[in-house]
Amino acid sequence: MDSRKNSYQDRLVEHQGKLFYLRFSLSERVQHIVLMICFTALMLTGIPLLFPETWVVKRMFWFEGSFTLRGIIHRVAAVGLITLAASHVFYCLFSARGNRVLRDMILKWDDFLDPFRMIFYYLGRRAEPPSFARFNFIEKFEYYAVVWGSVIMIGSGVALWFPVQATLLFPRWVLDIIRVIHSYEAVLAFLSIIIWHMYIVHFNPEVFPMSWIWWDGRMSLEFFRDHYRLEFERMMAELPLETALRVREQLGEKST
Amino acid sequence: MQCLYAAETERIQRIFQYAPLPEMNSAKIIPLIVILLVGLGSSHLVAQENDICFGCHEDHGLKGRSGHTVYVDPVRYQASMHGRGGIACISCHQDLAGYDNWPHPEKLEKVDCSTCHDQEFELWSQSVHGLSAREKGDFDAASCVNCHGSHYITPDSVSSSPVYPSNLPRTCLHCHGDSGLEGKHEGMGRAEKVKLYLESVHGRALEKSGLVITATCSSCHGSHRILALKEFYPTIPKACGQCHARIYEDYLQGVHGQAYQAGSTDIPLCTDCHGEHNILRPDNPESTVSPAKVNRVCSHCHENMALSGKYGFPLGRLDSYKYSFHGVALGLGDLRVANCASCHDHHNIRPSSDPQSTVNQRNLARTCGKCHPNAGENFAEGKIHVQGKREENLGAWLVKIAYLVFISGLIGGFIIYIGLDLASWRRRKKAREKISGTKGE
Repeated sequence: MDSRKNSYQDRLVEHQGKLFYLRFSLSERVQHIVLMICFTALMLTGIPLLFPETWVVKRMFWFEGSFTLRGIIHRVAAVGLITLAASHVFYCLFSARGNRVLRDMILKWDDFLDPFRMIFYYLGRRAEPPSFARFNFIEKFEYYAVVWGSVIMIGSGVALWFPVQATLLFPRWVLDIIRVIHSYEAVLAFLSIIIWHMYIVHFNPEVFPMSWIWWDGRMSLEFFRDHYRLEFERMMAELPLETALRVREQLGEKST
Repeated sequence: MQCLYAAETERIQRIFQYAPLPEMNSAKIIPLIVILLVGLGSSHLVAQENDICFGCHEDHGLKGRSGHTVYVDPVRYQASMHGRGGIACISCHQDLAGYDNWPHPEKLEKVDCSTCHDQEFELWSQSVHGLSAREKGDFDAASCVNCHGSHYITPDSVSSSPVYPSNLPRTCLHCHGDSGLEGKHEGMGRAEKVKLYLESVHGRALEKSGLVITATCSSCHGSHRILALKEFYPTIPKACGQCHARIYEDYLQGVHGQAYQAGSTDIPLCTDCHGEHNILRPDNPESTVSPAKVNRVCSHCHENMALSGKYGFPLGRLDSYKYSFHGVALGLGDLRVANCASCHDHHNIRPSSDPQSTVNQRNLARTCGKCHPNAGENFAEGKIHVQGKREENLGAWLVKIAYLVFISGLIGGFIIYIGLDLASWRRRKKAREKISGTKGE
């Protein structure tokens, strides 16, 4: 790989005289925010359909035309998500950083073992937690879950949006199955984000109440070193000596 | 004096000639001609005899022994149907014919309209009013005068007539809304029915739009031969069909209409869906057949266990509808989506096995195509009224079960993992505190 393109040097940013690891670039942060907005809008306008008889949902649609508005918001957000997905594909394939991210996302054998190592560590059967590369197994699986979930939701959603065209390809009872998939995949995504993503990224006691990395993209070097040891070591090996020394100095480590 | 009489006669004849005539048919025209001939022939005599009566009765202050007025306005009388026809006072007050010992005794015989109006009398005798009066001797029951008035009777085409369409509801209300009669007889004290009528599509047409051809009391209940509810009920579709002829035709072709013709009493008549006095336009949200409410009307019978058993139609239609996207959307206020009637038709409702039914497999694509343009055969392929049960769509059921298992497993795993993470964090924190505590000592 061309070292000039998205080298580790590029991933260090200075802020108020201190170095930070650039966990999310501006493009990635924008992508995340767009995803967050689209996801919230889609959930707010979609999940209520699964509980139409409940008091809360009935209150949600209190004014005339509110259900029509719901449909419009849902479709606008869906188009937003489709656009985001397409631009993310371009980002991964054609930008240096995106391409690097995609390569670092590739699943390794360790990613299947790390959950068990982690559980053993939690149970006190292992002294240290496993060391992670740029993305740990949780982040990788979450990323693939978002990719897979988006593919399912976009595919099934488009079929439900254009039922007449969809039934040119298959009978309507398939559309009924697609509706079940769209509903339950939404429940799955909703619960995963609310319970899993929120805890792992924000509500866990280490960063509670919120990690700001999604907003400014900066991860402290300490956090980076402690949680992504393998990637940190790779960085230290590749960084120019001067920068590496500065990193060590900032971390209070003696140069070896 | 002769000259004056002649002028008067001519005036009466002129009025009669140009007067708006009631709807003509042979039943009416023959007695009318008779009246006309009698009237023309005897107008001189009539005027003379009536003159005797008005000699006293045109006095405003003339009262009977009990204090009620016995004043009769000669001008109004002459303008009335009978006055113009040259009917003499004694033609009705027959007990005074040939009487010359004036003043006559106060108590006179009851006027018998049937002398001339025998057909109307015959119809009235069969009515709920006539039967009460004749069989039970009930003097509260409406007779001729209660609706038509007495001395100043005008045809129902004259806007001052009590039986003119826009006056009729209040004429009926005169007795039917009388709280004094409430509970005394069946069907009395029903002012609210007439009020509901006045707010209905027909009542508003009559009151607001001045549409006198709209349905009023007599359009449905009849005029002279008003029937008791039990006998009236089966005639309702015909009553509505007088105006809504094409809909009546459609209804008779449908499964409900067929059963109606076969004499079934279980099937819905017009009023069972549309309401009775309070009929509203379907686009009025208050209407029982408005998109938001029509499903409830159908379910009233179609979710009935006894009727389902008797006629073999499946239950759970409403639940399956509510499960569908149409049902969800309608429940949350989107009135454009399909309701029962959108697919099953409104009046010409046929079972799906009928090749002419809108929900027959061969016609489904076209029915769906009303809202989903270009819907093809595939669009109608598959069960429609489903509730996510295994036997309805095995694929959908399996997908659902798979998801439920996967979601509960995954979320359960998440929660366990989070619990372990929290416990571990707490243990590490305590360990750290212990170390720093030891150091502090």
